[in-house]
Amino acid sequence: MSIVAEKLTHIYLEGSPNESVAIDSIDLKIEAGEFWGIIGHTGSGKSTLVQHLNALMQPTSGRICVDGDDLKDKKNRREARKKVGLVFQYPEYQLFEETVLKDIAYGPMNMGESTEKAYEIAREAMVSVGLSPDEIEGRSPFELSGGQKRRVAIAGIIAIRPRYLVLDEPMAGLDPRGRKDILNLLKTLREKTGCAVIMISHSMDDIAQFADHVAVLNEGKLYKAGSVAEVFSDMEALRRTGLDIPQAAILAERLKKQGIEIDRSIYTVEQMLDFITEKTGGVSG
Amino acid sequence: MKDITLGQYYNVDSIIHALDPRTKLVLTFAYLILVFLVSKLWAFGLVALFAISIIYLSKVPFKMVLKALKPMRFLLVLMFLLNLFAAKSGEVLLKWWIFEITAGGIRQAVFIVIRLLLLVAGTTLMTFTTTPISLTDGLEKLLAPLKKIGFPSHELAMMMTIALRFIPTLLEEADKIMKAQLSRGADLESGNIIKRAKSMIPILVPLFVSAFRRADELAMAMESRCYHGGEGRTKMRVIAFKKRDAIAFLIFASAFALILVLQKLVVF
Repeated sequence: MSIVAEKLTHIYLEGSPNESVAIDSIDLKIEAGEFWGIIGHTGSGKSTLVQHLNALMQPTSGRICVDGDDLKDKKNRREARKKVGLVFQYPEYQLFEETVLKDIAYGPMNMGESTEKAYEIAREAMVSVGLSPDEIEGRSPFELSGGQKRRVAIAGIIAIRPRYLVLDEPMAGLDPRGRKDILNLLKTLREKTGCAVIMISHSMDDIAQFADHVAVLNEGKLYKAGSVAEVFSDMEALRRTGLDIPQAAILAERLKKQGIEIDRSIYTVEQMLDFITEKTGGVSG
Repeated sequence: MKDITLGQYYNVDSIIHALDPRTKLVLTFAYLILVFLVSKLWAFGLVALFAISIIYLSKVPFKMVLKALKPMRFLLVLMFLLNLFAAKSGEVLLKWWIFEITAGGIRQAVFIVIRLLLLVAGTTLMTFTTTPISLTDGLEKLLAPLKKIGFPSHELAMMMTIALRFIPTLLEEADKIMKAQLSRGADLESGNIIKRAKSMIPILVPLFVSAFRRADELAMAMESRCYHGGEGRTKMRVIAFKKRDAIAFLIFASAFALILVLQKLVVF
């Protein structure tokens, strides 16, 4: 059970003078249940990569398999869209139905569920994104607040019950509270359903804290991929691509320079907190 | 979507490109009138010859113009058939059930096809050689005298500019929304026509919502930069009537006059 990309390459407008290589021979294996963070600068190919995962885009060369099925085969594409749920950037702009309930049920109904069953799934999805069905299901999605709309849109994908949930910058444009809510709901959802989460994000801190694997894209190439500990063990390499480094890692680096010995890799606030409490014997101040 | 060449700009340097947009607008308009005044087959040949020499001067490849004509082929066939059977005048050549083909019908059918081809070729050439911005600038200047009777010429030109500017943006947006709904299992390809039309709702509703949102935002942005219509507004690129425009007018006027006079004088 995994998504496997082999030498995945996509070239826009191939053969024309405006041809550009969006992603270049990417090899990646995402196992069921993992939490991947995908980072990279604007234009590094992150969005192009994730659109290959549910066959919205076809590779120019190379291949992509979901649970062993090659997406080159058209018959596998529909199944792939059911297995791999893709939440686009600013997903609230795709809401269209009269009521929140109908909008969330759109996905499951397309996937062949009966209306009754789809509504039931939709209500469950509402709960899992922290919305109360009684309060919200009958309202128009257009009269909700920005954060609520975002959650309804994410619920619309969760309702498909994907095995792999892919999100393209799900926190873009939200306030810190909204960001945290979304991250926590992804974490809970993964614990509850066991689905894999693949999240594009610009925030190293969020990825360090929530993901267990990281893929770093740079100019269309897979710059680094592996467990969070592996990738963050080489901060210099990350810095060379011009990406941000987790705040806690910067602090750890400075402490080292001050002559404080650190016997482990630290890249999340929790790890730093543990380290400091250990060093100071739990006495604060 | 990529095949839409109508209304596209072809970027080369030529005498035609350098003309004042007003000149091109007026001359294109005159050309349109000419195409309707001509009513003899050989006269159409002269008009076509004239159009071809202008295309040659514009350095736009003939292939591009032909490509612009290509989407019209169904319309042309339809117009040809309609005129062939509907217009009844002169000698009856063929009769079958309720269908009748007359000499006048053939004549009119051929003429309508030639006219349409010449019309589209001419207007396409104008958009090929004029950027949308200078086209709307030219239109604004041309319509400026009408301001006296309260015609909003600047506002009209601004609306056209904005509309043109947002075509690629909305296409991109439509593509994104389509992909988002495909991710939710939307099926846009199968089913009968009603089912397919219905499957467009999840794409059209968000597209309209987003178009209105963008319009709102743009209006706000324009207002915060103190936009208040055309009153007292100056242009960065001032369009000016030059000698070459006068020459163009002369050439067009004499060519058109020649064609019309010949048509009147020659009997066949």
